[in-house]
Amino acid sequence: MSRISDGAGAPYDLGASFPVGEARHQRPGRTLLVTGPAAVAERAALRLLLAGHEDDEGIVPVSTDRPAEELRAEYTGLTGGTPDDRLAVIDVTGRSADATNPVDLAALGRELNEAIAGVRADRVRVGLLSLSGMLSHLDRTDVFKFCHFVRDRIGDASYLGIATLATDEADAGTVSMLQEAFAGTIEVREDEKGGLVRVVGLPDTPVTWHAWG
Amino acid sequence: MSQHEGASDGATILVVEDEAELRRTYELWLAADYEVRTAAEGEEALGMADESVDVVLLDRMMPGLSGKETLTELKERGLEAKFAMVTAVEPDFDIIEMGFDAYLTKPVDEERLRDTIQSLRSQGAYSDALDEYTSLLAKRETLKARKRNEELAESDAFAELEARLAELEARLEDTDSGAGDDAGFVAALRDIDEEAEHTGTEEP
Repeated sequence: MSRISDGAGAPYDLGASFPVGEARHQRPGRTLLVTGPAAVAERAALRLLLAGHEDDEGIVPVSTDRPAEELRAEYTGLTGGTPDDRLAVIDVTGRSADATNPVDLAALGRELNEAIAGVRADRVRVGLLSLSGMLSHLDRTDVFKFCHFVRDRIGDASYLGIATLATDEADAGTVSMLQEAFAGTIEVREDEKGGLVRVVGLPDTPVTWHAWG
Repeated sequence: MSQHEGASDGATILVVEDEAELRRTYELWLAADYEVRTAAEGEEALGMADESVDVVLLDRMMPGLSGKETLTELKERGLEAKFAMVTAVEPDFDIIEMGFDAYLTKPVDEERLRDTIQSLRSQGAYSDALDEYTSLLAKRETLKARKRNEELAESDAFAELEARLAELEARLEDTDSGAGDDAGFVAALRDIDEEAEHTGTEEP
């Protein structure tokens, strides 16, 4: 694609605070799944997406759970309040007036194309927030295939993909099945001391819990 | 779709084009590798399309049924072919919305026509493999939920399932899904929508 510039070869940085050193820099084209309790996974995914803001990357979250306005506010809040053209939120909650129907995947695909074409950046982080929201409308086999094609799209364009799946809202079999559509899984949880993260399924990355404050 | 052994495996291409010269040209380019049928207009194409057709090449502007109308009619009849639209204007987002799997802008040359047909054949093979892979993954999870690990470890059927999954995974790795570009991506997602509409849920 013509949008790929010379910078596309550099890895995506998950952020200075991301504690798993071996996984902090992700090679372009990868799509990762974040699993954990709904709110914890969502927050983690947002951090991983927003880490691209400092690197002048485009950020394109597809939101099935929360209205686009809410995500936009959070983004501008976390990035110093600058409204800009490097963020494009796709609302598939089915709740707001301009939202796409969550079961119309072709329409979602078109919106994703348009949003990516619209952000002013060659490098883009695409978020799927969350697969749990999609599972309330679609069969898990359909969600799996959807993830597969998104992974291809992201792989071909050398973007970074981050999806979330709430482990408290899906059965273990569905989580395990959907994991197969991703290059690796970032597991997050919280205990009384704070946030924890570990990375599963990526080469050369030990599976160890790290504190993630 | 019938078989997907490879790119030029005797697949059947239906060319629908009102200009006689173009129709003959496309046929000439494709006849060595494919079974080619030609129709001069949409109505005629409807009579020639059956389940042996793998790819339909549709001119956008034709007298009588347009390319889009012909596509809609063929899809309503349940034809599981891949569709390419030949158009004089550069495809934009609106055109992608129409439901074609690929687009060719006139003038079409031989290499691009061949590439497009090969890519559509590959998309068909990919989605067949992905369908099987996905339903086997779901089956594996169902088994894992119902049986103890020791039982699964001893089961030949489970070992076969694992082997088939590995085979399909390798095939998916080697096959171009076509979903890397805008039009192919939307077409791939539309296939999921259409399949869900026709079959309902696929869970065992």
